[in-house]
Amino acid sequence: MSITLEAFSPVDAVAIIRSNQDLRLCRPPYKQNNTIKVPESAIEDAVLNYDFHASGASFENWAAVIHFLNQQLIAYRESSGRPVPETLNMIEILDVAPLTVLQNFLKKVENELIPERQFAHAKHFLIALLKSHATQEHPELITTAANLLEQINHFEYSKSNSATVLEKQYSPFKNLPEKANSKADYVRKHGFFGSLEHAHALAS
Amino acid sequence: MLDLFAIATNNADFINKTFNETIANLSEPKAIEAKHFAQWVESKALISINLRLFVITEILNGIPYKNIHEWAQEQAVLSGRNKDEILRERLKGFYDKRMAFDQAFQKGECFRYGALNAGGLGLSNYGLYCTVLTHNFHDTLNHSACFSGDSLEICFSKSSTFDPMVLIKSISPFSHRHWLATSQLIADIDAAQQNDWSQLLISTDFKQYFEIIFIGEVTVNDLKCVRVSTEEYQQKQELMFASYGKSLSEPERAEVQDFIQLLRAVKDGKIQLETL
Repeated sequence: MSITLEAFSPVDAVAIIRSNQDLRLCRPPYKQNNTIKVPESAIEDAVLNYDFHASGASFENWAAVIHFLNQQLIAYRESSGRPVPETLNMIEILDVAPLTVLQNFLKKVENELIPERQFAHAKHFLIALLKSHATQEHPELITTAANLLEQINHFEYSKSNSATVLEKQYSPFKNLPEKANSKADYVRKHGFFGSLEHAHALAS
Repeated sequence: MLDLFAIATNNADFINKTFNETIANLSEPKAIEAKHFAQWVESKALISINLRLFVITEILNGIPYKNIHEWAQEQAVLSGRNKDEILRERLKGFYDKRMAFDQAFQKGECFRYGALNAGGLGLSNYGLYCTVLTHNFHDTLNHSACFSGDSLEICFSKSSTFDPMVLIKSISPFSHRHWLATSQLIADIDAAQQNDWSQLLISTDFKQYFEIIFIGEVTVNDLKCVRVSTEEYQQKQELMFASYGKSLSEPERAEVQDFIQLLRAVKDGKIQLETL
């Protein structure tokens, strides 16, 4: 498969790419649903009116063209004196975000992250929020954030508690592998359903 | 070399006459509506430039908005390479077209391009952030001209060779933009609701719009507001939120960093952000 990079913007790695005769405007993170089919005139329009750089370079696969675009972005930003940051300032994001955005983030924690058990993501956000100036400006966010942290703790506690209960319940079977020969012998003699009783006996 | 702005000024009477003739041929209610539209354009329509988020953050950091020649000149100074070589490398097959236009006009290499905008996201097909310039900026412009369509397309429409005659005939001084727009759009004004008038100035498919060419530095003080689609704003929010759960790629980090700067400027009252 040949992919042609027709034009690109080095400041944000947006590109017009031709693949299998299909001309598309592609934006990071370069997912299929993040591309728009564009007419042939788009190349000229983007280059002459919207700061794109003309290219025409061919690549063997998507990974190669994405790597090229990333490198162009890094180099361009470096030369502009504003390199791509290694990490983002997680607290600054919250300091500048409007209240509606912060409230949306909290809803996402409640409705998406907690139900999906993405606790690390949720805690990372909530702790940053509590450390940020945003909670000084909008103290009402503290209660919501604290409640959500409490929910997460509850889930994590229940989870670790269940794990302990399960561990206790099934610990007698822990050494089964070592005693597999003995178990196998017993199963041969008494059948499978008798083997559970025997396993307990072996463990005790 | 042609003086684009002098040509536009010389066309002022013609633009005025065309408007009056257009109005004279209308029934009274339609003429009233057309005059109302012209007043609306004069009072509401400003110059907008659709930019990339990175360019807006440069303006916020005190770096004036650069056209392609100024950008190439800066690159030439930084790299020690020839400016023309840099332009050829960037424009490739489109180099001749750009140069034919820019070199045909006095100070063509200083031209900046915008669109007449009275609401909406501007020409947002490849520049998602619509930067609207202030009334004050318009008032202080000494060199500005307005016409219907894309200047390059107009000058190269008949053949692949440069022919500025259509542009020269139809170009208007910025002060007459409302009469030009009304004369051009007269067939559509009556049918459109006033709420949709902004879409007459820049149609949703970007095929109809009024280009503004001007000379003048655009700085942070000249920005009235930045308009962005709700979808783009939402996407940036998603990216900001995702950064708490995973490490982002370089382009994603760069975009979030730029967006933080934009939100910081909004918070500090330097700029207004409108989502549509």
